[in-house]
Amino acid sequence: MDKNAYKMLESILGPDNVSRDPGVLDAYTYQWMGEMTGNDVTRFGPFRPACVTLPSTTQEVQSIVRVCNRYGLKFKAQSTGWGLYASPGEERVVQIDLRRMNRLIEINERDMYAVVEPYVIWAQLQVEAMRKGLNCVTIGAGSCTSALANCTSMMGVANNNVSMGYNERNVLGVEWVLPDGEIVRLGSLGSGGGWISGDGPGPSLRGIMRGTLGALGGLGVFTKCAVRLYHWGGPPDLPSKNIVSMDERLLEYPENIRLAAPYFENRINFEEALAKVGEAEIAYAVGLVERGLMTLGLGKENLESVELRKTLLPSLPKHIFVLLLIANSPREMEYQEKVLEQILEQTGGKRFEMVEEPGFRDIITLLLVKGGSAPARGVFSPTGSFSPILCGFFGTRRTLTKAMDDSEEIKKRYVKSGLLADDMGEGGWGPLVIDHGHMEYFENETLFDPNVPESIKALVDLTEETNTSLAEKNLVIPFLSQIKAARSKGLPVHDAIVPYMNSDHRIWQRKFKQAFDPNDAADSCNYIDWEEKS
Amino acid sequence: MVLLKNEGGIMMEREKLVDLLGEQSVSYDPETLKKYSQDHSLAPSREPSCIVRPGSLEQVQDIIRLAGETNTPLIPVSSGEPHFHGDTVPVLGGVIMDMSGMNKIRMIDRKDRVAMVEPGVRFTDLQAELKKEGLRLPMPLCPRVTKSVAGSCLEREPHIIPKYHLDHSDPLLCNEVVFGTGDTFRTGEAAGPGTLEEQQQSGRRQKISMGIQMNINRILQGAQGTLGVVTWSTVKCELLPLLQKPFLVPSDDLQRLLELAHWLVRLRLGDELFILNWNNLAALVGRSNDEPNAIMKDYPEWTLFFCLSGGEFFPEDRVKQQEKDISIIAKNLGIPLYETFCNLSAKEVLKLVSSPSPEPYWKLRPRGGCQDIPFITSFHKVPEMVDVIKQEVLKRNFPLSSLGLYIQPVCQGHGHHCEFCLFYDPSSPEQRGKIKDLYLSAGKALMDKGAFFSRPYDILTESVYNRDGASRDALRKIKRIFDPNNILNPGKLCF
Amino acid sequence: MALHDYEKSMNYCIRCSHCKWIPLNKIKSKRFSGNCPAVSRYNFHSYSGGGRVALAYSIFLGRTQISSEILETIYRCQLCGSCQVACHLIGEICEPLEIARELRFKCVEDGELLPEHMLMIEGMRKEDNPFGEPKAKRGDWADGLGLKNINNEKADIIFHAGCMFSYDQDLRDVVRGAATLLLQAGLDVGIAGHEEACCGGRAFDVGYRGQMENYADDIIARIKAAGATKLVTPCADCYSAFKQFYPMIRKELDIEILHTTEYFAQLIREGRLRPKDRGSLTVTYHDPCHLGRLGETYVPWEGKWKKVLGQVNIPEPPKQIRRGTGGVYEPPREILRSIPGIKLVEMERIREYSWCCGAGGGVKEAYEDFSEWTARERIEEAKSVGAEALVTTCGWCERNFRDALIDTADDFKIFDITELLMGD
Repeated sequence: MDKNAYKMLESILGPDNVSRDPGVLDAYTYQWMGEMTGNDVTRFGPFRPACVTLPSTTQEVQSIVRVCNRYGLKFKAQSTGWGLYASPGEERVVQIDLRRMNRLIEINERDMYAVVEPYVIWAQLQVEAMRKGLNCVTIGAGSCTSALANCTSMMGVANNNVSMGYNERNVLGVEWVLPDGEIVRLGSLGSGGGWISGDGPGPSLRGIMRGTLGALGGLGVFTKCAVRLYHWGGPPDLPSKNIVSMDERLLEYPENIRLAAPYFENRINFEEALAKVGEAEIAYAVGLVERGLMTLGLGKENLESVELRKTLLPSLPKHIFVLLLIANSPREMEYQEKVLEQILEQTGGKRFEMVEEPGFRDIITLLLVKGGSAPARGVFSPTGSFSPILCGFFGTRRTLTKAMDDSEEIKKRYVKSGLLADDMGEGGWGPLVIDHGHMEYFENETLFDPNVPESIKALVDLTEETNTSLAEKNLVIPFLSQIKAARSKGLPVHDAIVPYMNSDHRIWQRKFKQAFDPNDAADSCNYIDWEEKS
Repeated sequence: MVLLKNEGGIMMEREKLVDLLGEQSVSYDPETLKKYSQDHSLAPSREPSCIVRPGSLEQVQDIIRLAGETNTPLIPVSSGEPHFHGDTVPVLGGVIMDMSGMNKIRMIDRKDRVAMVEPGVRFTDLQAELKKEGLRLPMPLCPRVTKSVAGSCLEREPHIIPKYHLDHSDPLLCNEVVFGTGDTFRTGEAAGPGTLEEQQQSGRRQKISMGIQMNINRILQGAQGTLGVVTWSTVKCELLPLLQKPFLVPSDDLQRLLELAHWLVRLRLGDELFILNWNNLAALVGRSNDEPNAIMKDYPEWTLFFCLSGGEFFPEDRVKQQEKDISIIAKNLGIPLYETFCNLSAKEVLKLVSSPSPEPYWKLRPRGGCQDIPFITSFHKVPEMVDVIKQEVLKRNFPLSSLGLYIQPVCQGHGHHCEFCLFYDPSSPEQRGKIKDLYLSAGKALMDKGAFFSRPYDILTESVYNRDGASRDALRKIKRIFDPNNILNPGKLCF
Repeated sequence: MALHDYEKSMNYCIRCSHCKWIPLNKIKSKRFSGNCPAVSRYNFHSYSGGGRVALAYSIFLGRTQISSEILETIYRCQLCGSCQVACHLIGEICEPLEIARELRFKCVEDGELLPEHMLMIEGMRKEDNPFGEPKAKRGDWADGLGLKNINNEKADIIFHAGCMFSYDQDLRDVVRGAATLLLQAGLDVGIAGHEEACCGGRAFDVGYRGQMENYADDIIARIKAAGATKLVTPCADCYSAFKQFYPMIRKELDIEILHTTEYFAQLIREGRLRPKDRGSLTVTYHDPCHLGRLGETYVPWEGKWKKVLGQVNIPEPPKQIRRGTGGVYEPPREILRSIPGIKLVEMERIREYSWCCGAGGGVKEAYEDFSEWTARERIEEAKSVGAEALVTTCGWCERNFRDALIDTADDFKIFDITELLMGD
């Protein structure tokens, strides 16, 4: 790295907040999914950053970006930085670690939003919001992830998307340091109107910022945003005893919350019931953990999980989901329960009572409301790594079950090879319905061992096969799965998709990149190359 | 060879247009051209040279290609007159692209609660077809009968069911658009895999509006046709209620009404909800002072309207439960709920707001003309904004009785859309002059207090964009991408 | 032990950052949600549990070497174990705490030494305590108490005072009080007096494995000679050394090991100890790392990872997953609840996910400012829950909290549980 550039960064940030020590840099090179790249099975990704910076203000971020532009360096910002997306995609990339930008600036109770910096995690935001009778979407990746990153730059669905929406739409005003160092403030923020809207004046720049997925660092650095909050009808806190998820018990189960776990004869009825739950607008949260996944990762330890496969599996229905009702009055609860019973009657659903009893009920309620460590445990503990197939599969009524059937069928073959965790093909997780059924979502968690090259290969092959299968059926290609497969092979992420599309989005996306990043300073390994590469 | 006049000299050949579209789809009738030269806004008048009416995607592509070759401004228009925002008045002359001929409802799907409409489809037609499937499209407050559904959505006009207003982009989903470059693009999941037909065969309904790493729909909205011409849109529909019970909540205390509105929206109680001042309410229900069944003069200044609904599942129970819950909130706030207040019934209002406005358009009823001031603001600032506009109105001796105020919670309670209407007689040059001064001064005063003009129109546009130089510069980059030759509605927005 | 023994473990960090937070469902406020003093203070990912794993792996693979910056990173960590608790809620193969300690063994082996630690070890070698205080004075704290001398006679209970309680004058009342309460309960208690040596825990923590081995052998011999059935200590550090470190190096103390609070709680239940009225005081209890999450008995494992259900990793034989759930949490609380006049309020970060006092891992010796910063964070938290005093039961914690308050005008009170039990 150019020593003058480094000196400049030191003078901007102070020497304590910059480092180019190789050991420190390697701490940023080591990543989940690092095992999928490079020539070995270590978790070190292929590229070390040129240096790591720790800015504490937007101005410092801007200065770093300007230094990069001046010296021909690239930059990659990360918040909580989980996953290879957060690491450099090539040499000479300055890592911007936004950990010091961790202020929860404001919670506006009447307009129901919170203004956050990048390092505020969902768990922090949620606990502060709940105190005020508000709540936020806590994504499946875990409440230890950045709220801002999820809203502006990434993907991430949640069980409470059914009532609170997908986070692509849960962002208002945004402060954004563009790749050339200019700062743009979206919506009302730029016009002196506060945080209340992220759209306008005129065309909304939110449309550049993201789609189902954000730019993952390829379009600059987001330094503040307003995250939408929603009403929370539960208690201000959900205190629990014990720290291990499967042991965790609520000290008191709230009176106005009910957990139900209906199951069905077949997937058609399952989806029909979900759609009705959506249209009836009764659910706070909905979720699916297929039994193959449940009996792999939800024991207190792997040994116990393996036992669960033997002891619990026989009694677990295949087509089951959980839903959480939260009512603001006893009348409303009565109504919600009555509607649920009606839906089950219409769709042949039955209630799986084991899940509704104290014990499982507490664990699942905590999972649906707060997340906690259970999601990560469920997918990482058994084999050490995972990657969902169908990650990014946003579907609708007629496509959800097709994708579920398809992925299960293909996955079963791979599972037979013994190179993945044996979830019987039933590794599904998802909120299933978003926005009361206007969208549906499903992904199939696929557990592989990062230390076993054949296991990694199996995952990549499975991902490509499922993506191709969906594309050939003219179903949505799950883009986040696509990124992982593409990066593992060092290929541009969009190129495999475009042949199936009737509109080549790369043209426009590349133009955005060229317009807003004239010096190609923002590391685009997860976005789009500045120039088309042959 | 007849050339159509254009700024700068190069022109679109009329014969070429007729060749492409047919004689019946090209008009240079002076009467019609004059109608497009101005509207109810304060935008300066300018006559177009021609009106074309494409009937297909291919024709739109051809027109844009030809306009690009000849540097001819194109102004896409999808709604019928009267127009109010100046967005359809050509700034630099050019050709009006009247999209009303593309008026098919291409698809309605009950299961996915979605409809696909061409630009010329109007609310009346769509709602009638949706009703057959047990659906409805949440609508803005009594749009005019000539309002295009797609046009309204592309303008980000908020609708009156805040619970279903999930985002400022709602209810717009996917679009097929021809950019100023001549390229055709389909947004969101409509981009593929597969052609539209293949997608639909596989069960897809062009409902997921998000693209992979961008959302072009958001860029098209608020663009006033300056980036591309939309040839179809999908819109998110909701279920038609089986039972509805509307209420009126009149009060002189706006703050209390806002509080009530906040809780109703926050707790997802009820569907339709909005707040009007007396002038607007009277105009809407067509019962102003000089009408035989006028709303009584001592009707409170403000009225909140909301409506409970029940659908497939125990509709009566639902309405009953929600009514009980709301009555507790209202009681705590000290404001009673009415099904009828004085001589106005909530059902009457519901009937009105469930359809586009009967003629004449309700905003034109009081004085014949109306200048809107729409903006977005936060909960606490609404009363402040009301005070500002009242002060501005009084300063300029504009009668308060000609000030219509409409407050709409948006985005499930994340913000308020305020639409202040200045009713005036457009045939009076003096009034028109006053309105212009008032519009400018009120606009500035509101902006100074933090009002966000998210979709600025006509003579306020420049000052809005100048407040946010960074966004303006970014938008100019966008313009250069989608319409490098600046043929689409040039002079609008900040380009 | 060597980094090589953790080769598999080092590739199993999933980089989830759970190691930076208390268990997510336990977060009660943003302010007090962090669990790791090191990353909370220094921010680079390398300072976190997961970051240390990456660092260790990088060094192991020869990708990097120990530079001065890395040395600082390695030793600016209290080895408090909170990262491991959080990590083990997710997985079971990665061992961030042990890997962080392995790095220190490697530093010492490679001669990468901090002068402050060298001083401490020197003190241990010469005087059997990390302060370098005269060994001859070690037993002075017990003057006049009438405790048996286990060098000459047998006793049922060996009372191991520990270095801090033996030498720190400010804590004299605590150690004397603890011994007195045992005597008053009619127990047969003996001490080694000036023959008592350091447990070696601190040496182990800073990378001097051999030094602790010596001390372990010493105490094993002493226990055997005394014929005791119980080893009771008021020092949480020693407690942890006996229960965790010694089994790690395969030195078993064939005796029941108790912290004084465990014993006091039992005596209170049996009615043999009646807490005196302390007067009205609202207190909060600080769980010392070494009594809580690091107070679990360590179960050595010499096994393999086996594959079942495809690629699922299970240990063969079964392996302890150290989440701190077996530590000592209830007895101190029982004691506090039983003292008339005392009102106990809990902080947000408690039990297995208690925030460290800042003193451990050689930090107090080498990075005093960091040590005191950590302590001040804890004191802030104590005040935030309305406590008038912070109560703990570890000499090192108490010393560090007091030191953090020394140059301030703050008169916030720090107590040992024993002091409250003794009454006025």
